Amino acid sequence: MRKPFHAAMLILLVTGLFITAGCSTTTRNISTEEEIHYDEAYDFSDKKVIVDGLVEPLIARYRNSGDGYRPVAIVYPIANRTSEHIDTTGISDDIRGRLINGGIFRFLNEAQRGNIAQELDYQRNSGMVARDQIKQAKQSGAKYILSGTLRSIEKEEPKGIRLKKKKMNYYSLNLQLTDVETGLIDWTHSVDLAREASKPIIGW
Amino acid sequence: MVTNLFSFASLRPLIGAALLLVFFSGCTAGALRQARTDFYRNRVDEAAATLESDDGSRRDRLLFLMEKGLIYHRAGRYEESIKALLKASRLMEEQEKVSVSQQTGSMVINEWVTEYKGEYSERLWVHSYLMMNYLLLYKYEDALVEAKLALRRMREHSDALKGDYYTRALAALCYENLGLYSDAYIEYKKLAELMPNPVPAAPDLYRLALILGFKDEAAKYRKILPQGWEFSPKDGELVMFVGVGSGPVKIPGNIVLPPSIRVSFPQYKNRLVPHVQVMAASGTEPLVGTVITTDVSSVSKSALEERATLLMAKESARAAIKEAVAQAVGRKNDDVVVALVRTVLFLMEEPDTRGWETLPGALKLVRFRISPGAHTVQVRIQGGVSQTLTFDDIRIHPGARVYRSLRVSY
Repeated sequence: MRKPFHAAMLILLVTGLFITAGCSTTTRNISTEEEIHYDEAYDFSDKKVIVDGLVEPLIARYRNSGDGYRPVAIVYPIANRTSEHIDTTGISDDIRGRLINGGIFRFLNEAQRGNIAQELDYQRNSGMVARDQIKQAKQSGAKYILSGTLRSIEKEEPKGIRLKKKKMNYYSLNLQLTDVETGLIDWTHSVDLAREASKPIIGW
Repeated sequence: MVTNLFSFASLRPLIGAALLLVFFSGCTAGALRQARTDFYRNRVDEAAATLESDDGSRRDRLLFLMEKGLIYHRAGRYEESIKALLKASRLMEEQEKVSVSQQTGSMVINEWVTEYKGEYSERLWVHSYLMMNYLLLYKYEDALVEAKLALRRMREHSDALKGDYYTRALAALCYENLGLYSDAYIEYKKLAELMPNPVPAAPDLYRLALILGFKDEAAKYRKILPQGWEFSPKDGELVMFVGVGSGPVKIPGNIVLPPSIRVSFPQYKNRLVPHVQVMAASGTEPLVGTVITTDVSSVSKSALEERATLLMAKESARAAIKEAVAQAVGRKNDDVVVALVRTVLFLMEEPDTRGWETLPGALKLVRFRISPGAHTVQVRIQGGVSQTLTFDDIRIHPGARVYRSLRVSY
């Protein structure tokens, strides 16, 4: 009589332990270099692939272009033409950072233009001693505009009798460098990504 | 063992649980009911406050988020409306998976035990309201994302949703805002083909045909331009999203067959949707505009009809299962117990009448051409509860658009 009771209690205990372990919250640090995808949608690993794929050719194109002069550029927002709410400023910020650190370009800080104007105005009109004031008319003009478009094509399997449904997403980011003086496109390059994900149609 | 399963002793707790289920199923959460009542009594802030920190149970979460999104939109809290509706949109994606546990439960009890997934039309209007919110905040790229998602839903249920002219026109506008004229033209053209009267789409088709260099097409649409409409590239637009009246509500429908088989199903009942005209003037000068209207009640009914075959198949299967249970009970118990079980099973058959109830009965996209500069615009609503609204903050830049949202006669 006792043995079956003990066995039942043991099974109950083990099951309880499994359930508790399954329900507990866990955290872990992951490397940003690691490629991780949970589904077919755009994620941080894609951003890294896109930035790497665009920056290297751009640096290679302008690295040996001359006398060490670093042209001034401005980044215009990367247009999002996908079906997802993607913050493309993350892509443009990374590209700009890599180009600055690569020593090829200098960049205007468009986002701070208003604050710069406000600061200069304050220095002029606040009674600041002249030697401490920033000299005006020293600001640079952009020789290049860096702009781009992120596009996507999504496809999913048509309706049918199946247990899993496949979805495919294709992303393409086209980056362009336009010469402000001539209006000509000086450089352009694209990075393409495609991923298929399969999701179960039936769950518990 | 199986014989004992249907004895009265073993059925007692089940009958008790079933009676409780009958009592609680078919009930909408109190907070949701309160918010809807406040909304329809024009106490929008109170309605928003009721749902502020409540996303409802898992079963009704989509409903909570949809109602919350619309109430915030009505209150002019567009960012919060976006948050709620984006959550709803993500939940709709997750709900594409069929839950075995919920479906099994619903085969014996009723549909109320399953998560509410929204009708095809409601799922579409989540994207429509997101589009409106983004346009009102001048976030054109995000509006375009929602336009694409809305058009995808329209493709998935093309028959049921083809009458939603408003959403298609809104999607075309989103393409146009970003200079994607070919895409906008395609959508306006589909709209003209689908609408019984293509005249309201003619100005956009004419204008875009000129931009795209389609001379023949431009000439074709020029002939059907609305009276008084003139094209000037410098003109801007006052775009108004007008919700009129109250959307339909679901009510139970029943088919009863002897001895106690009840097949129940939801059906839409129209509510008050007055015929409304929207007119505007800047000072004494009347503004020329176009109106594209979606009959929300009619599209809702089409969407429910498309689901009806599936719904009826499931209802029939459930009725068969319940009858089999009743007959099995009858073999092992006396008539009183059988009658009790049949009554419980009969009462349990409650149709799922959950729905997005703060939706308007009609959605109107009203676009007034207006010259650049500062304007005080008077908008007159005729029909239903007639009223005049004054907008003294309309600043139009050449070729640009200004957006406003209204809800009238509800």
